[in-house]
Amino acid sequence: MGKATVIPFGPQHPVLPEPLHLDLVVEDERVIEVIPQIGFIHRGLEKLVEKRDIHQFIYVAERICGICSFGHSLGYAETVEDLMGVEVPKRAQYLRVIWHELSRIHSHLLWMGLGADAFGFEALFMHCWRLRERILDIFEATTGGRVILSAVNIGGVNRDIEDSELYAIVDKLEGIRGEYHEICNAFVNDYSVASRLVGVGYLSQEEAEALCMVGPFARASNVAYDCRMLGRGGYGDLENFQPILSDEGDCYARVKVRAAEVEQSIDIIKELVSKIPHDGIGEKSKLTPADGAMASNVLEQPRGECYYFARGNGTKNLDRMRMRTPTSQNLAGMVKALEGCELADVPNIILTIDPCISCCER
Amino acid sequence: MSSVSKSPWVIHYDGSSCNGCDIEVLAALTPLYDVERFGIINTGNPKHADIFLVTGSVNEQNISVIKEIYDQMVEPKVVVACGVCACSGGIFHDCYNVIGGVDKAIPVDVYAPGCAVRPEAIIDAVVQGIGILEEKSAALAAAKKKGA
Amino acid sequence: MAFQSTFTPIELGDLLNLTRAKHDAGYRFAQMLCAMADEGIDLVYSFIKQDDEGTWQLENYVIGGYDPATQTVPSVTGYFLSAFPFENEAHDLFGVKVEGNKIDFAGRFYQVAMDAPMAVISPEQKAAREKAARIAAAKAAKEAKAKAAAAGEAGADAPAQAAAEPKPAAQPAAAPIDPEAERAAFEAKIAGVDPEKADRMRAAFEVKLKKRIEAQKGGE
Repeated sequence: MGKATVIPFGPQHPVLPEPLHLDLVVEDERVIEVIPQIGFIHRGLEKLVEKRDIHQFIYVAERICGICSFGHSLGYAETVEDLMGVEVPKRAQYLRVIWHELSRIHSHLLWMGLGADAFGFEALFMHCWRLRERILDIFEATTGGRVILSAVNIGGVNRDIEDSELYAIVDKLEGIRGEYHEICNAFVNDYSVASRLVGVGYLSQEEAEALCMVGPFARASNVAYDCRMLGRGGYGDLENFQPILSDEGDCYARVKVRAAEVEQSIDIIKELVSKIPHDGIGEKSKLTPADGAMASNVLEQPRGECYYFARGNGTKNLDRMRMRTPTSQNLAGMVKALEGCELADVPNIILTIDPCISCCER
Repeated sequence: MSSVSKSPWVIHYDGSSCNGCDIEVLAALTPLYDVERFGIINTGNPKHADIFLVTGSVNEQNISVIKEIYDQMVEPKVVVACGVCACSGGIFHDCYNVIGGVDKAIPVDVYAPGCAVRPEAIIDAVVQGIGILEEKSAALAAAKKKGA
Repeated sequence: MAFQSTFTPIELGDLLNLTRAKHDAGYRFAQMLCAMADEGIDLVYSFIKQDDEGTWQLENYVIGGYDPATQTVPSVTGYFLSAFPFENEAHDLFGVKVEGNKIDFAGRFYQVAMDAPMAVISPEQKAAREKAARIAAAKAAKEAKAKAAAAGEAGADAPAQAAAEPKPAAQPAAAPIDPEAERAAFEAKIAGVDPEKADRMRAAFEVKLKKRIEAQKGGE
């Protein structure tokens, strides 16, 4: 055994578009300890609730993260609606789920691309991102934005999608499905991908549970937990929702779980479009949260469970808003998965937890 | 120095952005917008890069990182601030941990506003950056000639 | 499957026992957060588990009024390692003293310009709270008046008692402005701003403060 050396990783590193710094303590090629350091993107936006009222803050909430931006505006709105006891019409709930599932597809495709780039398969990266642009086209057609959608308000949604347009979206998704199978084929059946990922960064189910992991990272270690099965909002009307699991627990399993979730999302959208009711899209609530009222809520983001907490103080501003994002919950799991791996596998393992640093630090 | 302006390499650093602009910077490199057809390549090495794309605002912790990357880049170099946070701090301008736009840390040549900045705007900003790069390299060559 | 979230107040001394019980019962640690209260800081710990009926229980336990000057919080990372980012965050942003964190960054988790930025009560928040207190006081006074009017028909003693009540509630709104305290709060707020801008902001602040004091004097 050689003597231990510390290799700094990041904050500017080609594998991640975001700044994350790790001190990797290595002995020869093996990583024996990992010390993460974050805080490069900390803005302090939770403090902004004091300056922006509940309706303005929705625009701040969706800028917590540009990848799961819709999810954050949805989670924030649901929590504040809980706080004030606002009823949201069914159609608005369905539309929210449709947009949320579309953002899951875009986020997973984005992640699959970055993952492919991390193991050096650049053509696959380009194909994933090419397909992702088709989802962004749907966003642009229905909300006007590519990344930041601003479609949710407290009490409903800002824009309706016409029924004919909804059917067109389903048709488009069916078209994407065929191309998606071709891309998936490369991920799931290509032996070079498998040889890079199988057995790398293994975490058992017991470890995953002890580390309180969430999202696809946990589901790849056979933890059967997906907030969508709690049946909140439009998810309550799904015929049958089962989380996608794998018991292999390695990087390859994480790829497979996410790959299957894209198709699951397409099926969810298809089902909801087929039974969407026509009871209006709701309107902006005029209530203010009561003094001392508290609400907490969980929502399945593309990266896993996100926890929201809100407390009112009797004014149009919230007293406290808190988002606990999936990445901060998964940091402990990431540190654990990295211990004992080879140096060359570090980028792959970091990417398979799908870290979203700007969510994590807010 | 036409080789620089015909095939400028870019480096990207995420200040404290929400990711929205970062993925748009990457989207500009991928097939739909495909700036690679102009010879623009995304590199991870500051010493290989001619154009520095910064997204997000500057804070206490990343200001030294941004300065360090800028210092490592060789002359001539151009800085493009991508997105409104990089231009002025944007929606987060009055957060306690945001100092302001990228120009608080390093000199910025081109500002590309937008929240999130659209890939078309990034391409336009990079094209403008190439013009500035040409001017800078001409000035550099002239100074060298004068000195010699 | 249903979902339910609950809030239960607990004492700081019971935290570790509770965490052990939740850990042994198979709960997943969801998060820990801090929120500024009127006095001290509220700490909220959350655990989640599916109960026997199939309902997902999100249990939030609230420790009210933690005082960072005199108390320390025991770390729960001994039971749930995934709590380490939140405890570091509580230390860096709120000044909560956490003891025994397994992965302790000792104040370098977030490198912010000032200590405990989230613990600063901003002028906006202060004003909003005072306004809410005034509205609440006015509402209480109105209700008391209505009650007094109703009671006045019944008996003669009641109105005097009811009229005395709203007075103390209305008092905090008229508290004199303390220029030194306001200045200190302002300096803390602009600690991260670059000097040139800070000077401008300071000048504007002084003018505003003077106006406010004069307005209050005029009001009295």
